Amino acid sequence: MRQLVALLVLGIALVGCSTAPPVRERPAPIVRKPAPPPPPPSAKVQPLRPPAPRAPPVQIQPYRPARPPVVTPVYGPAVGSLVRVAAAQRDAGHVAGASASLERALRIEPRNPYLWNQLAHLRVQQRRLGEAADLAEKSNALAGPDRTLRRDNWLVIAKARYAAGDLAGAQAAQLKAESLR
Amino acid sequence: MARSDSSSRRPRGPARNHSARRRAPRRGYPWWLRLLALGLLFAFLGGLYLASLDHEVRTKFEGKRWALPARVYARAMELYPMADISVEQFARELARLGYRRTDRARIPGDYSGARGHFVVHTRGFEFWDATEPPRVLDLQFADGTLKELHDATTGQELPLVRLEPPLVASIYPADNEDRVLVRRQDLPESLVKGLIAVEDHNFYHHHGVDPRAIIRALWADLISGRLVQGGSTLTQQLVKNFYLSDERTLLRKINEAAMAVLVELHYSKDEILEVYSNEIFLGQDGSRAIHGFGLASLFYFNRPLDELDLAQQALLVSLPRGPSYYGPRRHPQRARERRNLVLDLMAEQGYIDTKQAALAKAEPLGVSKVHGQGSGRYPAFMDLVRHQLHRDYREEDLTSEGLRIFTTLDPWLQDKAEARLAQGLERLEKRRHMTAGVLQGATVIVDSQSGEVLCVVGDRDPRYAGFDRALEAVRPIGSLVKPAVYLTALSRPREYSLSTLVDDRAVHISIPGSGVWSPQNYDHREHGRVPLERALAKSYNLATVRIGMSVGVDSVADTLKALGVARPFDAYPSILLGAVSLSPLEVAQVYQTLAAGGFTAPLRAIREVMDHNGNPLQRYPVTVHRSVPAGPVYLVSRAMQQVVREGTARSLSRFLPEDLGVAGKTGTTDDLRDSWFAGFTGDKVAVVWVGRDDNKPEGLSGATGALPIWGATMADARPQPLALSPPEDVALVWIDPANGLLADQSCSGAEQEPFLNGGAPTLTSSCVDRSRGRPLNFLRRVLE
Repeated sequence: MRQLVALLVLGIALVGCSTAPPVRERPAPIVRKPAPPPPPPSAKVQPLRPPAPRAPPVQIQPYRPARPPVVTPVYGPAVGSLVRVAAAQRDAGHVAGASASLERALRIEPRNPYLWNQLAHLRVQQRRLGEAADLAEKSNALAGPDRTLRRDNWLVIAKARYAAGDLAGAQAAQLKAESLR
Repeated sequence: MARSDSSSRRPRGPARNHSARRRAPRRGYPWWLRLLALGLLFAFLGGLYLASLDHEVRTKFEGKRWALPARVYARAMELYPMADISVEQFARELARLGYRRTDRARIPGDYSGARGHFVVHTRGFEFWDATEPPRVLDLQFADGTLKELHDATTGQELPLVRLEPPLVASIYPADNEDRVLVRRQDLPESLVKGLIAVEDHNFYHHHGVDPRAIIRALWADLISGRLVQGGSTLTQQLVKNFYLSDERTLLRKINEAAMAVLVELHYSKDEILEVYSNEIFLGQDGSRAIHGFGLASLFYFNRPLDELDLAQQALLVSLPRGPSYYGPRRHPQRARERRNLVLDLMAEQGYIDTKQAALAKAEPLGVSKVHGQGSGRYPAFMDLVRHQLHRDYREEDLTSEGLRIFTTLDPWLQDKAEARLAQGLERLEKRRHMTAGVLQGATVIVDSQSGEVLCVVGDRDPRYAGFDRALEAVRPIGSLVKPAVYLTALSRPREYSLSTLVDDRAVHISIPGSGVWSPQNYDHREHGRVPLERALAKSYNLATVRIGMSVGVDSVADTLKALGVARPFDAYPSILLGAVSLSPLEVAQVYQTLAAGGFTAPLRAIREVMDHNGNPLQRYPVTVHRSVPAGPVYLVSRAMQQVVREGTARSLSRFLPEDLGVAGKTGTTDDLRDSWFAGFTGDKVAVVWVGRDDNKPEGLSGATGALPIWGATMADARPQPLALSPPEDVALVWIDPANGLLADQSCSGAEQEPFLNGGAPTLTSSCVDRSRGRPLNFLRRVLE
């Protein structure tokens, strides 16, 4: 029973988190005095973790949109080391340095679509969206069958077109991205 | 003249009278008072003079902000396992960077090993994006590849290391003074001691002038009867350098002495040493004046100052007395004697012991052969660099701010391309019995995806800094234009595909105002109906003009502009056969767009600019822009591969293996005036032009003139194969080559042809029906 309640709490909380407007956000009233202390929002998954001997009789699960698959890049060790350097530079706010590192990587693997994609994301961060779209398109031209990567590139393109006021173009790019899900 | 005399005479009368009148009362002062007044006046004037000298000294000394030339670097070599670097290439890079081969690499700048295995103590370098620390590397090479890369101290495998970028040029100001600034604390102590021992051994004890040294020098001069010894202190020598002229008057000497004393009053010995070490003139490199020990070290030894050994430092110290007289490159014997004298003096004065001196004296001069840091080594590439820099910097920034400019130059490729052009032209002249030296040429190689310019050769004598043909020879491009014509046609899939049969028959075009234009084929023959792909491969003019006229000259002109032609041209029908004049560099931009699948990457020669203190100033990032759609570019690239496989560039197979899949195009202009070849592999785009400066016919076609040079150069470049992959909107379809209609695998001779969406034929060839009845096919169908 406690598990069921906990599941309910979790379910409602998640629904609250994901879909409900902020006004309705409040503790679920059913919970009166549950043994565990009120869990912090990030630890809400915990009640599920303890060894659950039986599957709950009813599947109560909030609707969660499928997470877009993450682009998993492929490259050699030399380029890999540069990509890590670039990520560290970007996180430290040294975007130009990150850009230089990625270009260095491109000199080693000039046809690697993931590198062009990451360079496109850096340009987005620099608010140079036109260039970002060009780079994303370049990445697409080299992406081959990698739908995830192509989807991501189309999203960059959509963003750039939207920023440039090209709403129809943005929508077309968005649709293109959707179609690659 | 006479009139002015008379007019100037007139006022003199009254003036004389006036002074005469005044003389009377002066007689009353006693003589001592007058002497005192005179003395005071002199003291006052002398004081004024000294004050002005003092002002001058201070402004000269403190305002001595040297104009620091910009330093231009080539690309840094990237080392990583499986990198395409041959042993030869690596050894050459070490030599270029002035690494010294020893039995054990102890200090930065040393290396040991040869053939396949090296241990290198790198110097480290502050790059734009990160600092590369000095390391001891263990490298193994085999089969033209860097197989393994380890840190020799820890044994750990390293994923990637950058060597320092080679310094290839300086941009120095109009007075041609070049220097590399050195701080006092960076001056090696033994160099300072040597300098003091030989030039001014009382330096730390005098006040600017050393009377004993002057007397000693005078005495020595008197005895020998000529000027053998100078009595100037380092401070006096420095002050002398503040003046531009080399006048030798007593007044000047007195001034210099006074200023030397003033300098010593204001500044410490260390400050004086630092300024001296950067100011002193130490050699001449063509029109470039080598100032200071920092640059002299690079100029004479191709190594930074802190890596010089005692003998090399002694050589530098021996130079201030007479940089040309003791110049080690022209007068090695004199230089050696003078260097050994410096070493003896150092031993005599106790700065080194006699054993050290003896060892150093036994060493060779060690002067490097390469001294290419002036502007002279790669003039054509530097032209391009300056061109790009002038968009963002003023000339005085370039020559005075000490900017550090990081370029895309690949010196290895540059050296190879230079050699291949010179050899190739010589060979052509010999074979064709031409006057030696009549042919000229240019080569440009760029990275196909990023647009980075890897090398530029603008003259068969690559050191000649005159007319740079790679940038300035704007010549008709002939058949190099054809890919643009075919690209325009192939962008209309309902009208044209690679297998579309086109007419190669005489064509007459009336051009308003200039009559009828009747182009001819190179072989003056017609070839009837030929597949479009073959028309390009064989470079048929008649078919090309017909295609171009059917799609419209303006459309072709638009394609050319989209491909990257920025120079304005008139869209006459003759452009279809290449009546468009471009420089080799501009052609490289057009072919880069094709090589990158329709993405133009503006050609760049500079990556980054840093200020003198290593702060990043500017980056020129890679930019790309989709300028022509991928599908048609893919088709035309396939056709350009056919040019090499079985068309006009077949002879390329003498230089490069066929499976490299090179795509290219020959170009020849009217009366054989210009010979071109442009093409690309998986990673590089190269353009070669051969012709004459007087624009007279040289009797060479693209295939006989430029092609062999292109092939030999690219063979050295070890390019990546070109593996074209069809874009989304291209499908591979079986075609019966006899009629260009749909076929299937069963048809004899059927080939898979790429078609842009909507471009594949809809009619089926009769071979499909005929073959359907064959038992073998029946069996195949059953099995399928």
